[in-house]
Amino acid sequence: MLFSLRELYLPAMVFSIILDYQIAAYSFYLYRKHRKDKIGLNKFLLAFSSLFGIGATSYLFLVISSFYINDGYLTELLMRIGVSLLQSGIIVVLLILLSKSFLTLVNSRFIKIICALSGISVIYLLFFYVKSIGLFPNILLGLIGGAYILYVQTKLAKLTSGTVHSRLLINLIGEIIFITGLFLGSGLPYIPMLFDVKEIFYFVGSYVVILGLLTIIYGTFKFPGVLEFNWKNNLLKLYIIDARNLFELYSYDFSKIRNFTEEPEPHYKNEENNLINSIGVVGISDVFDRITETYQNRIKTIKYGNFTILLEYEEDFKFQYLFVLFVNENMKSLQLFLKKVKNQFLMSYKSLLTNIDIIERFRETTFSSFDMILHKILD
Amino acid sequence: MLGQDLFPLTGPLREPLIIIEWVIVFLFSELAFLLYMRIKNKETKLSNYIEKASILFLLAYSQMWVFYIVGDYYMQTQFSRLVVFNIGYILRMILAVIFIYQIEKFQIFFRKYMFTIIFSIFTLISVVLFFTAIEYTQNASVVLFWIPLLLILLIYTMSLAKKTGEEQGMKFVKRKIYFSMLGVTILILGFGATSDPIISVLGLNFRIVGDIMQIIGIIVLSIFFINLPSLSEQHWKNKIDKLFLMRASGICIYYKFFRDPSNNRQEQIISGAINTIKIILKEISQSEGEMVIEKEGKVLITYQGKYITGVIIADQNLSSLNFMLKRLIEKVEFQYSNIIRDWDGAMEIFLPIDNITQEIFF
Repeated sequence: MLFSLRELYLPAMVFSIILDYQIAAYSFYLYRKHRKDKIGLNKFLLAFSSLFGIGATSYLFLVISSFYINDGYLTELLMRIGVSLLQSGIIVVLLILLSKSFLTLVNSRFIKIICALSGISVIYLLFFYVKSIGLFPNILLGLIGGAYILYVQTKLAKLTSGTVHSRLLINLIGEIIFITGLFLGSGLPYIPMLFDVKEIFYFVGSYVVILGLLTIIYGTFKFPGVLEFNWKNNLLKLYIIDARNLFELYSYDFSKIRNFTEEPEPHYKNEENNLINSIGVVGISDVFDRITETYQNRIKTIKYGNFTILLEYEEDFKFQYLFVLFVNENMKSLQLFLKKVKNQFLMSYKSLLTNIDIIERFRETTFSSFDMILHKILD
Repeated sequence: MLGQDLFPLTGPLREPLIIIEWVIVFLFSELAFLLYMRIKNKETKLSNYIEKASILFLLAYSQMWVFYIVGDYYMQTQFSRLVVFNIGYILRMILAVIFIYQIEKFQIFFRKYMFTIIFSIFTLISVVLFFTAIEYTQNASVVLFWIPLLLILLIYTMSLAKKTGEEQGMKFVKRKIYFSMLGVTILILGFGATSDPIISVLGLNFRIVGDIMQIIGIIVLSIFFINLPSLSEQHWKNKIDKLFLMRASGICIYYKFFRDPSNNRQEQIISGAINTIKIILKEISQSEGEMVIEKEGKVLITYQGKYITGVIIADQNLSSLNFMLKRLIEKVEFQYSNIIRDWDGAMEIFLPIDNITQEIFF
């Protein structure tokens, strides 16, 4: 049986290049899709696309130079172009991170220094290459740049919640696996002691890279939308209602936490003490149950015109307290936020809520302290 | 059967062919993976069985090629090559049986599970041939696998295309289905070009052409699978419960209960209640708008025409239901535009709306 490891790892390497280009194309498509929403953090998808698109081209050069070129000079030239491309991809991402939306997350001076040094090392590699120095400066600066990008991604992931958060984490895990595979397949084989078993490292490295890329695809596929980064700007008003006795316990207008001058007119009647917004929703819920003759589940969303109302109930089916959130657009992050609000409220006022008399007499002031808890959840 | 002297494949074309063919295996597996991610969080419903069946088809094709690669490039003797191929054939047949079973769960062709039974018998025949007359299995696979599979795919695709007919406003789905057939055709032609009889006549170079055609076929199928709307949109008939057409005052001028047509369920009370909800929301928002109220297992959607509001109560919010409701309102307002403005309250005048409903919903 003719057998060669080369016939197993080369197809894997080619497939990795195809996967890289797919991720680049898909991320770019997502960036274009959300571009009209003018959310700065959307550029994260553009950065992702650039890194994988340029990275794939770099990998292509490296594979051709390592496995298909016999001429020493040409091999070295293609390898230098490949490494330069990879470093250029990292520079492009770092430059995108310098945009306004990311300023609170990054150290712009550090990025500028790394970009400048990386630029110099790329010029050195392409035009002033010295064999004795080799690729050392490029690898070092590439590692620093790459590590910083991972660090920023970790910070971005902490900013988010729900599906976006888990997807960003999956992407991070995928990238770490990918880098491990690259190290196994491109780094270790060049250690003199391991030269004889380099084919095994190529084989293992190439499949670890595929695993990493598939994990990234899993994280990127149907990415919930960078709109989710902007979920706080969609909050309009929160109501907490005693649905059994039909009175409003608490309300909060989120326009207070935003700049009033930028605030467009809300699409709903935003007057103080307008009970139709809160008690009316209880009525809608009851009427809908009767129309549809379904009493097991409760209404979760009401979409009307340009706004949406999200509803959250107590776990106990004979619910008393209803949590109503008016938003511009429904998002997973907002649903999670409302759940958190419900849990925090029920936990904070557990003992008080059993005393209906006190609530009825002092409801104007009893729950005003919830403002602080709400601000904490938003932070 | 191709002369054994050509196998295992060697020469300058060996490496490029191996690379391309492994890439085919990876691409099919990747497409199966992407399709799996699309449906994994959905409920196990009939409508998802088709997508699950497609995953099986892709995996079967992918594993089939693994065995072809091992057989064509690494087996030294004809017998060992046949053994490897036959293991692949049998695994392929088993996956095909499960694939056809998933399709027939959703769709009955002539008799329930008819093709599943036929395929199961063919699988047994393949196993028997493996042990008794292995030299005939390669030719037998054309009759036992390819012809029945292509037949069922053709019948299923034609019936799916017929279901998503023009009057239901799903022309785009029909176009996509024909597009998928193009992908499958290119795939089959490409696969045929890599078969032993073709290579023995046209040479090994033609195998590269066949491989490239299969890659094009995968790309076409990927575009189809990724752009296809959820197949649950096909089953709107099972999802729709009630339909109302109301005037602005809340008076119901037409209703249809799809699940329980005979029972009188006080349509005026229901439409009045819906109108109450609309008034509350209008009071909150100070404007008109489309209304969608959702809870688990039930949704209420509305469409506001110039004079009439349409309301559908259904089990799921489907684009097809929204589309059909809009069409219904447009057609009714077109026919009744002069009557509605000066309506005297006589309900009989709206009875012919049932014909329009029949046209759109049935």
